[in-house]
Amino acid sequence: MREASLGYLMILPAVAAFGIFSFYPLVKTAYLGFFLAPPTPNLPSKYVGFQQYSSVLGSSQFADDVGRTALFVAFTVPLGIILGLALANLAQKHIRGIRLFRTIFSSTVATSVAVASTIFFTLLNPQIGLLSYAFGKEGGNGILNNPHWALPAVALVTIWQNLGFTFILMSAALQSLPQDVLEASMVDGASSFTRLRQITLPLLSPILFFAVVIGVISGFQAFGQIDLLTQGGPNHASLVLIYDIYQQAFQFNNPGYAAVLSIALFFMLMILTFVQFWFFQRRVSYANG
Amino acid sequence: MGILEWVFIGGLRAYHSAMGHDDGDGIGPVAPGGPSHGPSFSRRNLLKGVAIAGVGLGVGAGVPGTAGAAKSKFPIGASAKKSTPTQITLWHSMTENNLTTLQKITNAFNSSQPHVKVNLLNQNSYTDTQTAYTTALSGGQSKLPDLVQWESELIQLLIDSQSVVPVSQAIAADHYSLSDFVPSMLNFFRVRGTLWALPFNISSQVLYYDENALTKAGLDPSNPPATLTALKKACQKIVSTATAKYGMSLKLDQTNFEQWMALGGQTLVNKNNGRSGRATKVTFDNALGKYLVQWWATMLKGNLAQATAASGTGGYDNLLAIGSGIAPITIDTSAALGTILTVLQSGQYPNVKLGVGRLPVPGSKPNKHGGVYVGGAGMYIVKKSTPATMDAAWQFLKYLVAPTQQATWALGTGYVPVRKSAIRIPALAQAWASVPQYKVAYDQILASPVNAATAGYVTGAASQVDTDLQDALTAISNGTPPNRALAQAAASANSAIQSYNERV
Repeated sequence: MREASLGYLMILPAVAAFGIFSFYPLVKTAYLGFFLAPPTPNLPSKYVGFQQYSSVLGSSQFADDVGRTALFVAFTVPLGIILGLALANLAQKHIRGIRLFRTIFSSTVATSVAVASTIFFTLLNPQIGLLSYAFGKEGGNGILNNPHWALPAVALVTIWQNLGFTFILMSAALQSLPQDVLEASMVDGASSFTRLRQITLPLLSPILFFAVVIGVISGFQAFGQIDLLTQGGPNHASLVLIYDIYQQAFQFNNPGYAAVLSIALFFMLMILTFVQFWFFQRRVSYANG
Repeated sequence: MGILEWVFIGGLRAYHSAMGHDDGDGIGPVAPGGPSHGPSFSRRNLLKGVAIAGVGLGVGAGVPGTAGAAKSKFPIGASAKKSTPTQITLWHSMTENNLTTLQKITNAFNSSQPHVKVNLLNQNSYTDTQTAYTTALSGGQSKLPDLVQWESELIQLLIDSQSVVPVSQAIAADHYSLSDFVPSMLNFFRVRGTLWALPFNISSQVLYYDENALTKAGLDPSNPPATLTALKKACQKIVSTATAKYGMSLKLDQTNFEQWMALGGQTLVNKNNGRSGRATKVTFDNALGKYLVQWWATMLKGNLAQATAASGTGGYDNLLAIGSGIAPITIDTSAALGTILTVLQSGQYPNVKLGVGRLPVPGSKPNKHGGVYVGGAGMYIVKKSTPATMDAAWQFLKYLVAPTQQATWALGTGYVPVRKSAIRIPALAQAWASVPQYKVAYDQILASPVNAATAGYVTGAASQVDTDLQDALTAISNGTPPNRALAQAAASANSAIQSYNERV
């Protein structure tokens, strides 16, 4: 009994921190969704029950937000992991100056979203941007103001910015692979592609799983690059769920609407994470011997 | 290509360092001849003259009625009755030269009298001011400033917050005359008969062009296009004579559309632009609105104009295009003029001779009921429980908008003075005589008649309406049929207005 209370006492700080900074805001947000929020917080709210939830979640704008968010994740996560893995594979080679390459490949880890976005904002500028010239899009409106290219462009920046992290993750995983298994397969005459498919990837699966979960969550929460590059535009072309939440709450002074979107985002991420756990649990092998 | 880019980047840097940060209406302007022009005659005498001139008009003519909100008595003179100075805080969004000039005027006020001490708090941008103010509203009165500089178009939001005292209360209690103010500026801050704020930093959209390019294209630079029809013809000439790749740059900024509606004598929302009652839907999807988006599409389709970004780093592309010769005409805020002239004086673009013209009117001739409405910000007195701070705020506000201070302000910043007599103050008169481009925006605002269309539109959902209109212009530049884009903007803006009205 004394031991139990000591235990509770020990977890109290963690519970308090989570309670104040996570659970309370979560409950409060869900609660806010039941009210039509006034444009300024000193005025009374109007209780509307589930009506705001149903009208916001049933709107075509919400469906479009979710579609664009899914597209953004679909752009960033697979390509980011493939590129990170490819770079990590290259960096395994023992050649002169490999440390320099490793530093370069991992350098974006030290680059903030703001810096990455500003670099690409300049590169993509229609009047002065090098990338605009490279893509033959110089002059006029520019890539970031083009409804077809805005979201892919933001995704590109995101992939670039996350590459350093993915690279480090994949390098560490590759270096921890058991060499004896790989050598055995070489003796058996497996081609490098077969080795990758049959041995490396399955052995990497825990780290791939981790990268996918982290990538999906951060993809759903990508905000900085959108705010700095496109502000959700043009014509909502890059208006992902999280940016809509920001606009509703802080630009259009409608926190009730934003609360509903936030709760929706929370449940979507929760469900997605459960699905990922369920899916990968059946395929990921944690056993190393 | 490489060299060209470096020139561009150089120009961009110069713009950045000169303009400072975005202060909401785009750009932080620079003085034509340094900020230190002292007025050569006494402010007090001038004020006396103004006051006497105002007596004849009486309170009823200049003051927007004592109706409604003006019933409760404003505590005039409360700060002077205290033995210690009353401390007040002004939240503003001024940066660079604007900040320096505001600080200078404030310091002069603080040392000119013993009763009031003003502290400036820089919120950096109108958006940040809005966020900070909204946050402070939930923390009670003590967190709020005593005076706030608030972006003009968000006026309804501040009215709805029930946290400001209309200046008409102070004006009525103090028998303060408004006759020297530029009428169309007051017109903007008057909602349902109540004057809510006094105009402080005012700007308007003007036409910028390179006189040399116009001459080369066979056009008369001293007579810039005054209508959209003429503007289109001028652009055709520039392109057909191969003077430049594009005739002009059109910023993807809804402000131009909104101003053209006003110049055409049309409202943007119902209930007389939201002036006689709370607006319930937009009216901009009418014949004039359709004409404007058609014109916009025609300009872009024929390469007569290039579309450029409305804000961010790309927000200067239209100005840079004049420098680089890609497109020698554009439309932008008059607040940018000081910065543009500074960049030109640096010798970076020796081929450019800058001309400034009034914003061209829709169609082929002006509408006598039409005129521009003002951009910029007004000063609002925050509702406080202590009479002394409210009175102190009013005393300082009077000082800020007095002719001498407005002349200093206009000289130091490039904003337009809000007082008619300010332009006769020698320092400003001389500066404007040597750089006549500065006077264009003022003349244009002064010429604007007083009616609902030229008051500008008022709705609590203004941010969304603006976003919807900007989306429409962007959509058109990407090939969406103009009428469809306009209809979409109207539908989206209507639901935003409806949602706002339900919540307030």
